[in-house]
Amino acid sequence: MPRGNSPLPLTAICLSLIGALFLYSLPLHGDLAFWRPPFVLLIAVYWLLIQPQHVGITFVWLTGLLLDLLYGNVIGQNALAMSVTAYLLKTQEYRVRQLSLPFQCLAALFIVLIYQTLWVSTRLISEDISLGWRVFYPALSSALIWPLLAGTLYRLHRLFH
Amino acid sequence: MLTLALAALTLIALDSFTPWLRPAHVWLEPIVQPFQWASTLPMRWREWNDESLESRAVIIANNDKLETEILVYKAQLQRMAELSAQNQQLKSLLNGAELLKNSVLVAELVGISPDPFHHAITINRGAADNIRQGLAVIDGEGLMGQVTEVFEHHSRVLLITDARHALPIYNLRNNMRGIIEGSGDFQRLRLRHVSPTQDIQVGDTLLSSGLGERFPSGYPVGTVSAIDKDPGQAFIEVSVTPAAKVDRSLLLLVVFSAVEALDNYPQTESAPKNTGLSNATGQ
Repeated sequence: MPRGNSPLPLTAICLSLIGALFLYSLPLHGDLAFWRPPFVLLIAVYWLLIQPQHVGITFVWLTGLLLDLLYGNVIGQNALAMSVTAYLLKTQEYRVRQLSLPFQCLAALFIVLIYQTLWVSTRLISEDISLGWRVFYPALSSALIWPLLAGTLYRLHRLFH
Repeated sequence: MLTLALAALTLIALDSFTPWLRPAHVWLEPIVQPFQWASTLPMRWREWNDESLESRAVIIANNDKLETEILVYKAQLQRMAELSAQNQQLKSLLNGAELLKNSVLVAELVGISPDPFHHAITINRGAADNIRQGLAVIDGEGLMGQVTEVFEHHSRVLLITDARHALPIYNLRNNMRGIIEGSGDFQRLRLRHVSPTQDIQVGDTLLSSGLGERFPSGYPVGTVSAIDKDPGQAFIEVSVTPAAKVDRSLLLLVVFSAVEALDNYPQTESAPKNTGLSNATGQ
């Protein structure tokens, strides 16, 4: 993975975010919608780990805010959940960077698990949503999709390097 | 980190309890539009597929079928005109308010909420087309939902299947009234607080009752699909299949309700609440 004192890959970040928002808004039929991985979080987390000198928790917070603003949620829900998740990840930053791909998937599973827990709890304050195991489906799908996502982001990063 | 978390919490509190952050949603709408449009692409593609890749014979057969249907509807409509005239006469004899027809506006679906906990869609009509909060939205088969947020050129519609939605209905067979709730599942609604002794059967058609003055009366909401009687419970579980194709319809109608028009009727003493409405109903 490209690391070190590389310049900020702004184009790649913007493109990946637009892609994430597009994937986020694609309609999935019925219960399949519960399996949608939180693409925006995964991409923000990728940049957080790859570009620690440029991308920080503030960036993740801002992308969360963008997500809230764009999709008419209560403003701040995603910002809170995503930034707290990013903070927890940041404390384990050096360990996570050393992981091999299968363990990266496992890490993605836990990250999304934490995020979903935080996000659902912030939503429960103001909304009446029906819970169940489906709240944690995105964690599984994120773990499965992580190799593909990381590969795509790596190529994208290389392309605009 | 703490600052960010606090800032997020403040925003959540502000947005939950005050309307101050609402303009932000309105300003950002144009940015969301492309993503919203993109989100309907698969549906559009399927529709285009259905339209363009049909063989000539099928199109001709379809056309024949539609023409016959139109003829049947026209015949029924002639009868309707007479009936509605009669009805109006009888109402005027009873000294009642004039029966007003609901006027409708065709709208197109331009976006679907990506959040699986929210059953909401976006339509391409907004404040510029006299759309207001609370108007009912229907498709060709039945009631779909109600307008909850209005922007300049489009608006958000909360679907009847959303878990937060409920509306008053009556049973076509015996006029029994009830409240129907969304279940968070596109194929199922729940009829609440039905006692085990009440007369309800699988297959009963439920129509909107117009009580609560939110939805116009008489639009199909759904048919009873299952009744689950548990002797230990005070009420029975009644599942209802929505009449509207809640997750499939692309063309919708916004209904400007007659009830609202009656509010502006000279007989009522109260000041007209919605001035834009009399124009809308006159369409």
